[in-house]
Amino acid sequence: MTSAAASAPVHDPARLAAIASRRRRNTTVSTVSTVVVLTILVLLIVTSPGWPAVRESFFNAEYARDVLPDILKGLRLTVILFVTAEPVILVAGLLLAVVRGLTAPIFTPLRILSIAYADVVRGIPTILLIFMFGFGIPALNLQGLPDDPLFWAWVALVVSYSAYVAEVLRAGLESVHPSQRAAARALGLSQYQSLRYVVVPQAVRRVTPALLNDFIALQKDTALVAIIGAGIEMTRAAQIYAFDAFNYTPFVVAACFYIGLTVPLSRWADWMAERQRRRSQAGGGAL
Amino acid sequence: MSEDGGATALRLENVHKAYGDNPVLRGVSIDIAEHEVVALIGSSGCGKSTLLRCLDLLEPIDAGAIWFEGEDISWPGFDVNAARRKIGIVFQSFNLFPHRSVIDNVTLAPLKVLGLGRDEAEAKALELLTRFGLADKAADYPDRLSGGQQQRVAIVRALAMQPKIMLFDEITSALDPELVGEVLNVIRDLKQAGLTMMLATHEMAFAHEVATRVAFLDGGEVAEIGPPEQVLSDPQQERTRQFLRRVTEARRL
Amino acid sequence: MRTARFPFRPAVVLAATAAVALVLSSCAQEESEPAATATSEDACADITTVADGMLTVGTSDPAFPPYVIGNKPQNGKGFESAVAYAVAQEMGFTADQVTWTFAGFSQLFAPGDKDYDVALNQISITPKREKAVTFTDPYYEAANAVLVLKDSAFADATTLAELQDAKIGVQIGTTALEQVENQIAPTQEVAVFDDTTASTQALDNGSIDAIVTDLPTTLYLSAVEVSGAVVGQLPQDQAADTWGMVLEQDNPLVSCANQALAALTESGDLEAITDQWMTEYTKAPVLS
Repeated sequence: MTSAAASAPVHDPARLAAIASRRRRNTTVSTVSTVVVLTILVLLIVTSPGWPAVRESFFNAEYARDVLPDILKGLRLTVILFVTAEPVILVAGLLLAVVRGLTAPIFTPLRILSIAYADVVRGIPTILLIFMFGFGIPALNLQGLPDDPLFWAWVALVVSYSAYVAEVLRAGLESVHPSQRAAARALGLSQYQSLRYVVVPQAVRRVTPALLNDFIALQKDTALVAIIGAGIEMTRAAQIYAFDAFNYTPFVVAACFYIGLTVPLSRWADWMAERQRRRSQAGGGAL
Repeated sequence: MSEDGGATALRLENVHKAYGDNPVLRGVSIDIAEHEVVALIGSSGCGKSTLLRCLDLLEPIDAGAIWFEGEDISWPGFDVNAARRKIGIVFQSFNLFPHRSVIDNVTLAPLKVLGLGRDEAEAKALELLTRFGLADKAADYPDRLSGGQQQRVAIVRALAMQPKIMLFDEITSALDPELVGEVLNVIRDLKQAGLTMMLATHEMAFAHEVATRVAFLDGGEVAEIGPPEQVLSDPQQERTRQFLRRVTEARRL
Repeated sequence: MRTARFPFRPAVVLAATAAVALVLSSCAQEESEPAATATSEDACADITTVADGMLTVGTSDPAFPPYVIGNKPQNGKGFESAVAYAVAQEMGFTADQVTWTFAGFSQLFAPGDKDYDVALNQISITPKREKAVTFTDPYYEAANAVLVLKDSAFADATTLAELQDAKIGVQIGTTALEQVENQIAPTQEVAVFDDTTASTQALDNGSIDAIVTDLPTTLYLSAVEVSGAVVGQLPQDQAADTWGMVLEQDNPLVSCANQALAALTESGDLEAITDQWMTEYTKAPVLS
């Protein structure tokens, strides 16, 4: 090949056209079939004999409007609960996970404690922990401890979720190749510094989807504080109105708000992961 | 057995190391003088990597001593971080930190260990990167770089700590042949600058060119040590001869 | 020039879609049962129940005294248990023909067929609720009352105003919450519990200062469960708080049940039952 001819890339227009037309046809087929199936499902639901009763019971516009202020008030408590709980859970979980990975004999008692914590706490249903902390601790009447049931319900949530998050982070830490820590130590970084700047950042990035999962679950589990009457968060606010009016619409409204919390969070996490991927991929561009 | 007149930078004295029941180093003794370049050769499993890792205190030794700046740094309780600041090591698999950009890889240790200010650390890092032709990659992430570039960044990262002695553990073994050259150039440069080095390598021709002494490790012992003209071209020991014959047959010379 | 190949794969997809549609639409929808019309004067002639020849009554589990004793409605002990058997008798069901089932609060208003004919669980009749279920005529008129611990700072309160600073707990699904907010207007948010088990626990450990729930329950609790005192009852709002039995929306059985209740009222049996089970639990001063 001469150098002049070799520099231009070679195309076959007929082949390109065939690829494009195939792609167009596949897209059309999938779109049409999706639309058809969805339409049929909707029609089936809407024309079923029980639909008016179900619609009235779950999608009552008047009740939805009426309950909105209460839902928003409950939402405030829900958000306060998980926004304050999550950082503490992450820190506690990280501490537990790191302690579990310390091999020096001096740390053995701490390591055993960390294992016991993860095993025992994960074995107890969160609802039970809420009862134990929310009813049990105020009943002890200990001096110097707050006796607000909401505080102890929050503590129960933190205790419960730290155990799960600790295991997730432990998996993340263990997935970082030991050569990374070796390289960090070789540069003179201390045990703490190599964890802080090299190992933990990588570990966290790897388990972000799992951490996000737990965070989203936490947002719903804040509803458990209501079982000890500690506060009226969003689900309880919905339940109060629902039981009063004998209608489920408030729950649907609350669900919409929960989804409204979950979706942006998931998209944000996706965006972060994508940004990371773009930065690291050699040459970029997915197939 | 130190070089004529030069001060000793690092001395291994009868170092023993075993993994479980498996002895890997059996009484290795080498003196490395300042500005020396010692090449370690030997077949895989002979203990080259282990030796280098022990030198950087990444592994504890079972017996013997490692003398550095007048102290036995291998003794339990010694401040390993202090020693590691002055002994740099570069690995076969580069081990760059993938979550940090090139320049952040280089500046991490100077910032946190040497306590340099950010501007100073970055300036010095850029200086080093420029010297080795990597200035335009400073903001990139390691995965975007070729193998040769990553290895050079790994070397720069170790150099940024201004170590007294540099250890290289088969740093070209993981590279495509056409990328080996750029890394070897870096080593030549460093020798020129007078840096004390010990390198484990398969590249015999390079060892011949750049080493002041070559040590042949066989079965955890130093079978032969001496200037490259002797060890590589006219070895005294039969073991050395056998090894070199095998290497020639594999056309690695 | 390539010949166009038969579009095999898209055709498969479309065919599959059509097949799915066919399967889904062929799921036969059940027709709802035709309503039994009462043609005669006796509303209880020709009635249909969930279980043939049996009256199925729903209540909560656990069911609390004085409405059900020992959580065994089958033994006829307790106000609501007794009322249920009496009404059943008037409707034409002997005690053997009455069967009990668990009807959790949130199931009471679920759309769709119920597995009980009537349910009783101290459910107040309200206009909103009447849009979702059918109530019988009232079988009891209830007042709400305030329960505190004997040594509470609020034990001597005689007016509603004196209770404003109390942390009050109520049970979800009762009229207590609304009444407390309207009549007492407390400074602290009212705590809402799932049941009296939880609220008495909170009262005992001091998380709440008072429980507001129906008067008979408060008297029962103060006599049996907590070392408490009933401070007084809340005055009735404009409309009296009445309890009715709950049936599925538009269930024609309600006419028969109402006929039965009317008979029991007229004969004085309903009052006798109320006296038997509730007298101890109906005396408390009215707060002003």
